[in-house]
Amino acid sequence: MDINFMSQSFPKLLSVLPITLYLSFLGIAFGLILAIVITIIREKHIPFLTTFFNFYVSFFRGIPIIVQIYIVYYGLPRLLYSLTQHGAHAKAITLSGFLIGIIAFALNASANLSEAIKSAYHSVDSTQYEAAIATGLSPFTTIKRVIIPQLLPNLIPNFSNIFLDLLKDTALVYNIGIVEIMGKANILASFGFNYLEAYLDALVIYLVVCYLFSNLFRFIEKDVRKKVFS
Amino acid sequence: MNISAIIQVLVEGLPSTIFILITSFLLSTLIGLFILWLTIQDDKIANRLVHIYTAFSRGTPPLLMLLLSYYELPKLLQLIGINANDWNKYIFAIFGLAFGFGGYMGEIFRSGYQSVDQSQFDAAYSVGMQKKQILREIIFPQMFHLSLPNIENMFLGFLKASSLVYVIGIDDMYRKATILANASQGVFQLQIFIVLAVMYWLITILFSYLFSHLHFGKYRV
Amino acid sequence: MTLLNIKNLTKKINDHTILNNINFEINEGDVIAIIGPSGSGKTTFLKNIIQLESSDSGSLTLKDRELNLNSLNSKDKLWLRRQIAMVFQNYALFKNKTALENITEGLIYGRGVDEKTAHTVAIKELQSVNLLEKKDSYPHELSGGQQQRIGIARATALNPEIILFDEPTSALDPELVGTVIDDMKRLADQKQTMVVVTHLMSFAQQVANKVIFFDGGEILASGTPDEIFYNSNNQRINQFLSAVARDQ
Repeated sequence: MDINFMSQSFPKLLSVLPITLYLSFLGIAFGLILAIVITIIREKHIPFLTTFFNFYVSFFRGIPIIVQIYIVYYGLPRLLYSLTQHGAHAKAITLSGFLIGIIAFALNASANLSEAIKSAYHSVDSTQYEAAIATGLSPFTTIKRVIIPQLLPNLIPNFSNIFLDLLKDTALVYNIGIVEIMGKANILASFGFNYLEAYLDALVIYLVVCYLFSNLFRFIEKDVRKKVFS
Repeated sequence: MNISAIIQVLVEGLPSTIFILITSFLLSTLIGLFILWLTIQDDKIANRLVHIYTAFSRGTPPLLMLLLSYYELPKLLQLIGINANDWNKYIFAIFGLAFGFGGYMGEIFRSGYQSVDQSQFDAAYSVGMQKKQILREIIFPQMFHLSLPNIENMFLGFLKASSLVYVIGIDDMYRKATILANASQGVFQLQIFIVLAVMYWLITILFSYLFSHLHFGKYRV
Repeated sequence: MTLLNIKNLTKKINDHTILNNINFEINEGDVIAIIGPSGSGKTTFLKNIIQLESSDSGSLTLKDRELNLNSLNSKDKLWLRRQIAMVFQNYALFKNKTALENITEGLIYGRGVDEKTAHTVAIKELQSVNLLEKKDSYPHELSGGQQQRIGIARATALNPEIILFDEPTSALDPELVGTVIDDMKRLADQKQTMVVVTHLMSFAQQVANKVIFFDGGEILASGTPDEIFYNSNNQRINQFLSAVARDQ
């Protein structure tokens, strides 16, 4: 095993870690916003939309992420093209692989997060809402000050899992041309066929990053639990 | 290219997908049960090892699980004198997924085990039962009952991860789709992947339905 | 005749003494009520008798066999548990077994009885607590009172020398307490040796022949119900009793 290669490639892989992180952060952020809207719709039982989003969640949770990436990759340009046909911006829109990646991850995350929010929401005692309303709080204030603080501690572990899964799934976007960790590893390895060494380097980076984030989330969960319940 | 033609090609990869799904899931379950057994021993060193293995499982992208299995395993086996260069690719795929996700499986069984009320143990000891009997008669059945939703989730996770075996050149459903997409010179790619997505989705729904009818007895824990 | 004799039982957790030098004797046919404030070690004491929790030191003599409580092997523990049964505060019925199976489990696996005999005994026990029609029900389908009576049946089926009761009615709705107490009174009438940790002073007064007051991991006083409830000079006991009387 070429240790020299490993020590030389490591910093080069590290240099593209920001790309992995940007993809993950932006993906989860947009996914979260979408998920909140989706969950509200699912909970409110709006005639057509609730059923649609139930299917949406079932769909995006039931197919491999690589397939989702390709559907967005091939589908989004066509969708935008057909929109321009109907009077939207006439300019040709070029989509970078980066943007496609974020959109694919956001859609996937929105489905997973919606399930997570739903389960955290239902884990809060239903009598909390009744009691708050009985005291004279408005529904909005109740949700904001009573329900959400209580669902957060239960949401955080699932959120952490979804985020870390997303981060690990970024390893697939080299397929659509983004040079993140795996992409860089493949490039570096292709010269001397040092695939094993490059992949081991990549593994170390993923392990450390995931370990750090999972500890961070665990700390946040403890902190939020303390703040909410004491 | 019409949909039925697409389906016909993709279905050729289905046996592969299902085979990898079932074997890697079963092997991973065995690994998970082994981890549970280690946890029950209550040994400090064993617990440490389990902790490290679980962190490794949680921190490795599935893609890397497969790639490392393919590139790393032969080298490791060489160290103990086994020549794995001509082994079937499926072995690496199955081992990679099973071992890669084993930490998750162990975690599911561990937490299911710890969710069983301690008083179940107390009551069983109090009637004069011994540990092995207690685990077999009382604890493990309840543990499986509690873990079932998470096991189902993992099973579907294996289905989705199986799509990644393309990186070691196995012709599963996903790879059939990419080959088809390249062959059609980029014209029908979207249709092909949407059909592929729907097929995965239907398989997911089928297995979810099967799981919902799987129950270990009429009791509630 | 002395059935069980415990000497110098001590249990510590991290320098905190939970049980401090407990000496305790049971005669055949005794019904001993243990009363005292929460956290005084009553439950821990019961669990130490059948070693569901370990002890740091002390000796236990049962039926002329003496055991050293900090060097017990699993054979000793098994022997102990086959002479003494326990009824739990939260019933602790096996959740994945029916009412009938809850009783046969201990007989088959704990006592080595064959299935047919176990089945017969279990039916008889269920009949005596009037729950035969529930024999195929699972715990989650039964009320708290029903579960606890099956818990008692599970213990009596084993024909133990002594039955330990850990606050058997604390988790029950008030209207169900009566049926469980009736079962316990019936056992006392049949001369079953019993040790009952309880908050119900009425039970201690009416059914027990000996009352023990536990506080801070120690036995502060022991005597007949009359001695403890009406003639005690101990300030702590009187304090406790008047606080309990206020609630009841």
